[in-house]
Amino acid sequence: MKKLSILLFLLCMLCCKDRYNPPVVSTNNSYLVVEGYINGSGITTIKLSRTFKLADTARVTVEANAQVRVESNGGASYLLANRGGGTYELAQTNLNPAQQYRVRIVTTGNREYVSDWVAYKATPAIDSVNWRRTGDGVQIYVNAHDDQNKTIYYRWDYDETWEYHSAYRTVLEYKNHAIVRRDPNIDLFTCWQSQISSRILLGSSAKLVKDVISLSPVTSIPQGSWMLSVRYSIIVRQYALDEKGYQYWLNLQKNTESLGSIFDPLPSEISGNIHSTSNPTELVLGYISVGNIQNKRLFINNADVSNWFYRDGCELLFTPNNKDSLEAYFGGGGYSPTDEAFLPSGAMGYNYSTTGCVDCRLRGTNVRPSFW
Amino acid sequence: MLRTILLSFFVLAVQVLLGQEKSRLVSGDFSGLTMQEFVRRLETQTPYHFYYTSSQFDSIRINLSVQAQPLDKVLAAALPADSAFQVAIDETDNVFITKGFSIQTSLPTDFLGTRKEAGQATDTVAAASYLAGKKKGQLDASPENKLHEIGLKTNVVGKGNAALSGYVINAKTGEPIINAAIFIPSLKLSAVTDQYGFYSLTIPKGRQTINVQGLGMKDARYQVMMYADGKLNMELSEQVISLKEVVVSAQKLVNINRVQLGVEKLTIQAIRQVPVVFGEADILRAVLTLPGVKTVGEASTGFNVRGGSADQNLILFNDMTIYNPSHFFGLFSAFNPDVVKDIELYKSSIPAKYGSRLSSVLDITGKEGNKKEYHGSAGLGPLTSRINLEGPLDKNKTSFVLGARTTYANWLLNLLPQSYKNSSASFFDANLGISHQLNDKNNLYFTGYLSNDRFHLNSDTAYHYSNANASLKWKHTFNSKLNSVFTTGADRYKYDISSDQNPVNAYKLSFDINQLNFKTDFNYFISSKHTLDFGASWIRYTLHPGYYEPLGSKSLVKPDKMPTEQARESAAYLAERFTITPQLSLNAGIRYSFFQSLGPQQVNQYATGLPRDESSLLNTKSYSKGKVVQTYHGPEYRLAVRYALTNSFSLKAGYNSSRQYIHMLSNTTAIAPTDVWKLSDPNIQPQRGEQLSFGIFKNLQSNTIETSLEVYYKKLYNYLDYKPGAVLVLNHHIETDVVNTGGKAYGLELLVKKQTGKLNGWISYTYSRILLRADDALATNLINKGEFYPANYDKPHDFTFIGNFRVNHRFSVSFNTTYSTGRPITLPVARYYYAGGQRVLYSDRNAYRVPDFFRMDFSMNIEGNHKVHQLTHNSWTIGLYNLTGRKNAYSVYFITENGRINGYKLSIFGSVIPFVNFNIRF
Repeated sequence: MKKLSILLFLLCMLCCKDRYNPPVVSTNNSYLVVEGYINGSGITTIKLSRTFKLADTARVTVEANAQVRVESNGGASYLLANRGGGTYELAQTNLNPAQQYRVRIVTTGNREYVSDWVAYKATPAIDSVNWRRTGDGVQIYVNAHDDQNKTIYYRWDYDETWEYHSAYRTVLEYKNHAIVRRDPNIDLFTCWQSQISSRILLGSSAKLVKDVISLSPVTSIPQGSWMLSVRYSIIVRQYALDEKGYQYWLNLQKNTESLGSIFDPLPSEISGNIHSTSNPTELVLGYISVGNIQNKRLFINNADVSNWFYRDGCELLFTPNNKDSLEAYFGGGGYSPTDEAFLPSGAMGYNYSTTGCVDCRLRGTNVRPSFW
Repeated sequence: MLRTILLSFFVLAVQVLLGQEKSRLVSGDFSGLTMQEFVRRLETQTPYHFYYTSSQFDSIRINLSVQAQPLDKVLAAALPADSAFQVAIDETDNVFITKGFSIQTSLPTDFLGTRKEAGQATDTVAAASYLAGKKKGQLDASPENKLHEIGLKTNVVGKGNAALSGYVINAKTGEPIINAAIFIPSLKLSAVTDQYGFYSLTIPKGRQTINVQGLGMKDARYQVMMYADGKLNMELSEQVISLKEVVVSAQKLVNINRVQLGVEKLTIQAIRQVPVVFGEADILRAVLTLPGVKTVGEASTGFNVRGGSADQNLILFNDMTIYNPSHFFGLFSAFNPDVVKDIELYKSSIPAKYGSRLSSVLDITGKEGNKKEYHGSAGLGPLTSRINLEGPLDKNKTSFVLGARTTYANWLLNLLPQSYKNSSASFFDANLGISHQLNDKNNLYFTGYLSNDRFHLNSDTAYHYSNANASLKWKHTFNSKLNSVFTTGADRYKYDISSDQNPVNAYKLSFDINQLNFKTDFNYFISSKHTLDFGASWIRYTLHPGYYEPLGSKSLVKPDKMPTEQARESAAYLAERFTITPQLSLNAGIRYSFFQSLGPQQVNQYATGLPRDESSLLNTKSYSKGKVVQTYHGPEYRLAVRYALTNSFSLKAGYNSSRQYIHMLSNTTAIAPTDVWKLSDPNIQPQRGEQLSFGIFKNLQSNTIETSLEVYYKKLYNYLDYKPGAVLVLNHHIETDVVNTGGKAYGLELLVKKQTGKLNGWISYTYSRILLRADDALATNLINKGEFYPANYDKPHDFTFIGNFRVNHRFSVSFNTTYSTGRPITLPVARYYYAGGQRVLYSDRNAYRVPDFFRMDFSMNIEGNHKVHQLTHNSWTIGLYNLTGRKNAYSVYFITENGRINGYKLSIFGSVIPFVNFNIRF
């Protein structure tokens, strides 16, 4: 049905989309939001937060200082460590795939929440993460299959990291109203930036004869983007879901990512698998699944894509070696010198550019990621 | 002038010549006589009486001497050879001498399509003879002064009543006139012609004056002398646009006299006056301007009548059921305006002969071909073009009408960005109607309809949907009191969606609904007080509710075929139209419908007393082919009472109940072409509805202004709404994803309508509510916790103004205004972070509304000149849609973009849209 929104676009040669701020409607209740995946062969992270009003500007209202446990129907109970910021973590634990698990949460208000018992669902390995050049840039896909035809429902998320370079190398800096040599150990030229996925990625082979996921879209890099100006990497994590979990995620995806065309379904809420023990009608958001996580990393070099046409918009300028000029350009920090230069007349000056074109740390970090 | 002379002569002649016996041969010397003297001598000699205009003979002297010659030879010799005088002599020895045209002294025997039989009108020339100069100098063809004697003439007129029946036809084209009102004002007796132009009326014996009014026709009056039951075919002349004053006669009294309430009728002429986007007359858009009819948005397929959902409307095109009445996903209605004659919408008093839908019947009557001459028309617009041809196949007996329409919207798609260049969109529709008169008592009608839509997006998903329908009707008149219609037909709607972009997932999903119909309808006029309508119908449904199959050899798609659904729906009905007193009339009907779900079928059986879901599924029971799986049946009542306080003021009340066995399941706002239809089965109960309504009808200004006020209260049972997160396509246990819903709807509708005069149009205001409540005791996760919630199309206030002003005969302007409350939506009430992005928590279903809707449109009709004898008549329609450019919200939605929540308002026609259309008639 996603295609129908494109269809709408076509129908809508005459229609238009405007920003809309709804009338101020809000519920006064702040509901508990539980996000996490019980990882049977790695670190389990559970995040607790609360819903907030539409108009509220607070970024996240976290549920701190709760007691979070993972319990098995075999009687085991693991307490998660409070990592602060509403994040609770259980160190590497190998769970028995034959058992069922649940999460038990006791908040500081002494309210108790438990999830339904969830069967451990093994995740098959990712076959490949690959990419294709399209007219709009690069599209990244994931492929997977399960020979036993048991997985059927898949979810993915990913982290993207990319290396990028400053437009110009610099050996100079302006310090204490004077141009001095830079510390050569501080790299201002090569940096990395990363981001996590914010979209819900789901796949299902329920309608296929074999449990095969072929070329399921993960994300795309727009043509000319700085993400592929040097080298780009993505790690895709794959989670197996049970059918109810898939429905929950699908509904969440529909509610927040694919509305707006004429034929899109109307938004509706479906409940997750976490409940309050004291008040069964209390709304708790989130769905807990149990299993193992599979991942795969992909690298793409700028040389692998033809005609990428990344433009940084940087320009190298010249200033004579004149105290007032230097102070005017570099004193505010907006520009940085790169190296010495000479006019045909023999007069000495400096090449310079905007600081963003010289110091890559403004847009990322110069710390090389471990996997790079 | 001529007529006055003729009349006075007649009176004179009758007195003088009664009972005289004279020779018809003429002898004598008439030399040098004036015309006056000549005629006087002839009249004394022979039994002839002469009629002529004396001034035309001023300069003529007769020079003739004859011996025992017949009159015609005498006159031929007496009158100058080159003088263009014409002589006509009728049966009763009246002689008419005219100049420039001849007088026909009797009607051609088959002039009214009838042969003389006992019990039939004898056309007596009562006053002047019938002046029927067809070729030039056409005279008034009004038969008002003629006395039609019905039945065998007797000296003493008997007591009691006699039945009069016949057809009302267009004098020029021979087409039947539908819904013409036949009435005797003094007796408050009236009848309305049916879709074949047939009427039947029981009136007291003796001399009566019958008034006939048809929409767009000149009013006519017939003088009848009723001796016994008999037939009278009446002709109406078209209200030709003359160069003086235009009076478009409407059915001035129909709204007062009709017993039913909640009936709206629009002719194609009225529909053409409603300005629409792209300029081509659009039937469904015109329907939407009527009180009590709503839609969720501007580009949506369905319409909602008095709180009914879109699938609760029975859309009939010449008795063929149309499942998807629109093209291009709702931008155009699927009916070619050139082949439509008129539409009738029943919102409350649904006649007993109709069934199988709860809310309304939209009866679209196609045009019948011209039985006398070939005609055609064509229209050109920016997106569509159409052509229509009609004419006789066998003159006066068989006619055809053929219409076709297509689009060339691809140029629009070519304006799109490069990546959509390979897209295409097309649709067409075609209609064929053939009507054939076997003889006086038997008529055959064939109608065929085909519509087709294709939409293809690059090499990706392709959409295709199509309606195909055919019907054959046989109308048989047993006698003047009993007539019948037998109809059989086949209807089909299908769609498919396919995608081949990803070879592994390439698929095709197809769906179709088929139905075979047979029905008989009888009309029996017992007496002036009692009329019976009865009949039976039979529908055989075959649904293929989804076949998902691989496309291409590489596809791994698992074929998934939903089992075929089959059922038959039978019904019998009996309705009586009872005129208790001239003021008080009653229509009472009962319809008994009987539905059988048929095998082969696999029926899921669920544990009793548990919520229906996959966990409570016990087993699946198989039924073999043809086996009755489940039977539902029940009565449907149709009741309407009218009390006329005066000639122009009546009160009406009605009660209506109905049952529906086919359901459309949708979780989208509008009808999507891909919605799923489902037949009732052991797990899906039929929907039921009942409605109580009351209305006040008053005509003002000698019936030129109709006003009405109607109120209604309606209840719905077993309506199917979807559960949150429901999957409706290819769901093998759909009963677990839908929930039985009850509903209540109530409202008030006001209408002021002026159909005549330079300024015409209507104003309507509706206040209405439709509230639903999931009342399934077993269902879990009830919508809005089992409380009432407004349906998607609940728009309490709705105001429409449609106005047309005819500046002169070649130029008219139309203007319309619509205001309505915004439709309900589900809004987010809270935000939270999940899966790397902001998410929203939604309110209860439909707890809020989009901003109110307001739109004004304007159009101009410019006609070419009105000379009758030119090859083609052209007209232009130019206009502006959405004059104020208001961005009416079609929908409001919230999406997570780059991890943030953004709200958007989508408007379909968010700016002023100019349009132009060129029409040609030939």
